[in-house]
Amino acid sequence: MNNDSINLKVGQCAATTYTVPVGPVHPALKEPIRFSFDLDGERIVGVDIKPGFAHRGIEYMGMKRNLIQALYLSERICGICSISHPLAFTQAVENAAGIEVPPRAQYIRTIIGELERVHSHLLWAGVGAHELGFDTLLHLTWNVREKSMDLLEELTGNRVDYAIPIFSGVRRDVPAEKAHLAYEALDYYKSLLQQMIDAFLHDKSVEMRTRDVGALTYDQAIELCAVGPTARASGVKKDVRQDMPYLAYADMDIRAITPADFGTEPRGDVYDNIIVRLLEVQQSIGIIEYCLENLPSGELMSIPKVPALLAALKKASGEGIGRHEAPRGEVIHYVRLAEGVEELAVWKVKAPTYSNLMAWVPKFLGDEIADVPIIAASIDPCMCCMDRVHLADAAGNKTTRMKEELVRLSREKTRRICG
Amino acid sequence: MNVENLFASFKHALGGAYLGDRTIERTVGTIDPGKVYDLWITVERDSFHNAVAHLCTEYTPHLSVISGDDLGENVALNYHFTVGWGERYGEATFTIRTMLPKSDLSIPTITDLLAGAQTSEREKIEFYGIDVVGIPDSRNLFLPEGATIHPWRKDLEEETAKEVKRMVKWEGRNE
Amino acid sequence: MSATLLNAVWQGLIILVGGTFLGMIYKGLDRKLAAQMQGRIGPPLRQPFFDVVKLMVKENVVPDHAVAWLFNLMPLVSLAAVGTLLFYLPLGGFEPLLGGFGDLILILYLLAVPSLAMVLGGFAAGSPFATVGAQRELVMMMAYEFPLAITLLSLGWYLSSVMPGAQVFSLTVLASNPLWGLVGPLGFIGLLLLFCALMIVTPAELTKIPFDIPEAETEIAGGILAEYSGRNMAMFYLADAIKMVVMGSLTVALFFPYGLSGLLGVTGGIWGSVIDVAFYLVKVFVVIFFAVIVVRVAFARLKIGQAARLFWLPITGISLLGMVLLMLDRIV
Repeated sequence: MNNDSINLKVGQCAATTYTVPVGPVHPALKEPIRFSFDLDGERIVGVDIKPGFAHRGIEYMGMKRNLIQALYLSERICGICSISHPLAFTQAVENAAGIEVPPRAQYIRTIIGELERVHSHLLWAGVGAHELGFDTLLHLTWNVREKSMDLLEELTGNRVDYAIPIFSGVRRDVPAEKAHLAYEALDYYKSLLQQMIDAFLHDKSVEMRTRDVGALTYDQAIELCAVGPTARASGVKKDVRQDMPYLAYADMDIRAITPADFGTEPRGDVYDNIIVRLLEVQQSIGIIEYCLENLPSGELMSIPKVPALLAALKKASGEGIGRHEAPRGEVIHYVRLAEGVEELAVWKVKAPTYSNLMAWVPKFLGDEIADVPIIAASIDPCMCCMDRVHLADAAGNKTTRMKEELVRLSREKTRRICG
Repeated sequence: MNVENLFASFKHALGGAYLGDRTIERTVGTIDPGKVYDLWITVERDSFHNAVAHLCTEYTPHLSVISGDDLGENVALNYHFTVGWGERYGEATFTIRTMLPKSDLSIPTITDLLAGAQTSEREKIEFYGIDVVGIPDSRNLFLPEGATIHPWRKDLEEETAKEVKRMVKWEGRNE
Repeated sequence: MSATLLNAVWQGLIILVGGTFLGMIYKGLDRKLAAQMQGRIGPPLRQPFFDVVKLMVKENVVPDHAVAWLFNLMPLVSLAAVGTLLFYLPLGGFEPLLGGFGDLILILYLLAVPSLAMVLGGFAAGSPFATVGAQRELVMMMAYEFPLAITLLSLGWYLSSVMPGAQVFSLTVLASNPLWGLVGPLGFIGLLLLFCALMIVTPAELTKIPFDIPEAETEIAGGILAEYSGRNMAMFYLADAIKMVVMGSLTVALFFPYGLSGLLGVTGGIWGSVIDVAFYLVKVFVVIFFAVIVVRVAFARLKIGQAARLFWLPITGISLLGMVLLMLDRIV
């Protein structure tokens, strides 16, 4: 932790406000980010957000590699959204290069994408319960989530980083003999969904902690360009799958889910976020079922040979935009391909948390320090998606010295303990 | 989404500063194919703020992200908006592109029109060294405080590489 | 005289060690059972012992901003206070060691000491998280002390009106005259209400979910305990374990002081004691099970405002109603 953030203004307890730092390392945060809260008693009157602790320079690295390598890199932007980024990225490149994707591949991409939404929303629900101090719900939810992880492993071979999409198609099929596993998992979720809704939405203590906490109004959501469940909880009917269909979503009538679908007026608070996410799990189950039942036959890739694919991509030039509705909201990738070069000329990645960053401010203001964890969690932040670039620091920079000093101290201690 | 009307209204509002447009039509869906559109317009930098203001009065836009492209002499900025969200097939991406010469990398902020643009504008400041005039908060967002390199600038590649090497060496050093 | 003193020292040592051991076992049970209810495997029953041993060998860090002497003293004060409490409680159905030297009022004060020690330690730590935690602990104390005091005093008052002249605030007297047998129907309802109030105060007194607000791991990173480590942390840990036994024993002594030996016809002798001690352990466990384990599994953490409102309005209301009913019971 940065030294000046620890620097407590001890003598100032009597003063009107004092500052409490949360992060970059804090039990409420699953990934590093720093909030500085100005508090008046327990009430938050000011907030400053500093992301950037998980920069890895992915776009920079991607522009130094060929497209297939960049695809693998895109998958590693984030472990939870490990299909969302490749889906957006492959679409962007396919749009730029004018490559067709066979129908079967489109459906398989959709299935994996929706399975990711199921596991991601359940993960979020568990984290949310934990932030509320309701660990029982955390353990039960994550137990239920395992089923979708198992299914993903069964279908793709991996629990995360599925390596399914590739330019012009998908790398693996969903064979007919595995379909029954998927149906089993879907039935399991269908039977549990009502229980989940009861456990979260009809629980008094959850309601007490989430109703009217971290509210984002309809206008704020639009003004601050919020995306995904964060915007939809405020009643903004924005969902890429509905607004600008792609892949198999174009064959289905998908509607953006807002709290109105649960029969309540959208308030944009944490409770509404829970509603939207749980109902989206239900929606995803429906989508997966449709895709499995109507899975078209045919090839998996329009250009099945990787050397041929690379050659085609090298020849291509143009710009492309790829969008995908990730569990957390809109992912958009912009690429420019230059003819005769294997690398990407330009690659811009935008993850949902990047858009929702600004939405945190109105959500925090006026609420209590006790609400910080659940509000922070309410947008389902994904720092590693957002912070894609870590570069170096200017030499002699204060932060660097801090870091070097910390590393030195920690090594010294390790040596001391080891004798 | 009436593409012709949209372009015409911008042409009318911007006059000579409207440098051109492009429509990419894509077919989606395997059973009942539908059409989606990627729309692009290019505007003069001086009229850029007017263009966004016009967009904000005529539509309820959503800013997805701002991307940049170092073209050597110039840096192109692509403001990737989307318009028409809220109904099925209602949305199209709408990108406003403008060129900034390297000698004068500055652009007016659009946070007065769309507060949510701040994150992306701050990112452009640190990664391209662009001066966003009038932005309420211009601190580094992703790079550490005080970092002065601009990693996505191709002409500053060497400095960036030097810093990356220094960092890699430092992270991996074995005392 | 010296023989009595020596005897007392021996007994004291046994009570301290036994009480701590019991507390640790109950803590282990708490973690194991909570884990089972949450669908987890949970740590072994001995885990609290491992934890304490580990904490003892860990470095004891005192933050630069801390007021070191206060910061280091408070865990000791906390442990000493709960240790002393053990001497005033009829553990295992035996006479309290110091039964003749203090009463319920003293217990009430001693119960407040560990919490106050934590508050002081939190403020002395000089960290914003600990400061927020200490403020919250103060608010919590203000909230739950009132219903707790009403509950204890009402019981004493009732006994004093039934048995004038008796040492009514002495736990021995209270424990040997269970009120359930003395009250009429109105008083019975009153006693039930007071019992409910005490059961709800118990998790707050022990800083357990839904009232673990001063520690709130996800919000303020352990709050009061955020800066504590090593030996100091171990002392708070032990104090917490003993406090669990204390709260359980207090509830048992006030509301369920019955023994089994009489019922089974094995009064006196070693077997009578064994049966009574075993029964006492079960009673304490049942109290802890319902007041702590089940509650912490079934609820989310409240916010400080919500918890304070809960104690000031409904819980104080319940205890006051209980008191009024007890009074009416005497009048009617």
